[in-house]
Amino acid sequence: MNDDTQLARWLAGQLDNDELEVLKNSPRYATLVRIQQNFALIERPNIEDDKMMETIFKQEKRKPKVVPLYSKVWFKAVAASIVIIIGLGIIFTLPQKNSAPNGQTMAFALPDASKVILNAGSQSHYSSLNWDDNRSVDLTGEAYFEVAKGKTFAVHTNLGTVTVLGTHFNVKARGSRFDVVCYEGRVRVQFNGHTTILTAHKGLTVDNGILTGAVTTVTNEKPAWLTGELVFTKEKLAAVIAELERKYDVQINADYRSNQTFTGYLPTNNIDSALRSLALLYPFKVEKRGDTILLKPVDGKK
Amino acid sequence: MKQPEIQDICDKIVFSSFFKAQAQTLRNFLYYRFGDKDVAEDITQDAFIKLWQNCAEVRNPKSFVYTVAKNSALNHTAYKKVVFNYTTNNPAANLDYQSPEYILEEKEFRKKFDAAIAGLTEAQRTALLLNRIEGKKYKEIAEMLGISVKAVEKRIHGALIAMSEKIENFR
Repeated sequence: MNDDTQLARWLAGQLDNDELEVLKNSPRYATLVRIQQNFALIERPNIEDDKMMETIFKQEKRKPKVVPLYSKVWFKAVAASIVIIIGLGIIFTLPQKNSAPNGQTMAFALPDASKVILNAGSQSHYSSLNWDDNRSVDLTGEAYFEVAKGKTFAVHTNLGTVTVLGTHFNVKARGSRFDVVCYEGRVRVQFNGHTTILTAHKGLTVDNGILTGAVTTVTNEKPAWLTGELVFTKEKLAAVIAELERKYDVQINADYRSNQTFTGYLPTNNIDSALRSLALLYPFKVEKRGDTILLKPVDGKK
Repeated sequence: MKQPEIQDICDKIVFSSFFKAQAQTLRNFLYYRFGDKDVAEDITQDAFIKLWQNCAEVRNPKSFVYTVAKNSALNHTAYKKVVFNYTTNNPAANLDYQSPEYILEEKEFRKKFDAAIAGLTEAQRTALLLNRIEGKKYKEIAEMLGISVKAVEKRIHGALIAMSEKIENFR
């Protein structure tokens, strides 16, 4: 017995006599009959057919879409693309400037995928226009280059120029000192009217336009500063201090002079311990005034 | 239900006769559902317009208009109120003298009746009214609503139970 459809079947006159008798004895039967009778008095709602029909026939039938080949939109899109391409062309051929602020290094790629890493406090300029035929970078400070094989690649500094074909090398032009180390391949170094070729693992130093010492042999594969180290080879104190300033992004006023050069490593994680290491060789006092570090001679000695 | 041969619904005469046969029921179905004549008419008109516009691609016009109408109806949830027009051709009224008490009681009953209808679920209401007012058989209703005959019967049974309870509780 389907109790949840019984009343529907009753309404449709589908109950057999037994079922009907049972239902008639139900307390709600009277109400059900009343409902049924009331429904019988309700008229079916009518709508105005004709008006609706008119409105329907007034509608335009859908036409197949015809897409014009050369629409206004197409022209606009092409014009826009051209402007953008020209615009990008201009942007790409503008001199590209990169710089590494104090305390940071900055790596970037040149148009031929040559790699440049600028040491702290350094800047470079290059023009990407016609790069493959004219690979030229202006450098202020220090940078490590990994040059892709190709046509001549030149790094210009105010102290000299390094030209390579495809190689890894480091160029440092600080103050009056020009350092070039070749790690792979060959580089040609020009300074003050002189030209020297460096082969792999060879480096040179030029100070005040004069080659200092012989060409040195370098054992490492890459410059120490790439891994964050501070390495000095016969460096004047002032230059060491300047390097510390750039590395740590601090201001150091040295009221202490010395002609002693420094060769060795300095810690890179802590300026105080770096200065303490230096102080072992150079007797100075370290004082801090605000954001500036002062180096003062001890006992008034200079 | 016999299906006539597929006639060209793009033919104005064919379309007109289809419209005359189906539009009222569709519109009333929507009216029972939403209790709003304007909404019911708008959706109906829109469905037939779409049929006319796409007449070349439509295989089954009846299921097409119901599908379109149901889709449009998805945006509506409110129920206003179905207003019943009572026939004045009441045979009983002509034969019997109706005392004022009787007339009053009838009015009272119809109020309860309206309230009971409004208390039904949309599913119960549409099934019941399609049967009672539109005169549709359970099989036809099942087709229109896209459910089984058994489901239609359950809805109607449930509607009657709910209505009788509501009306009795009024007393």
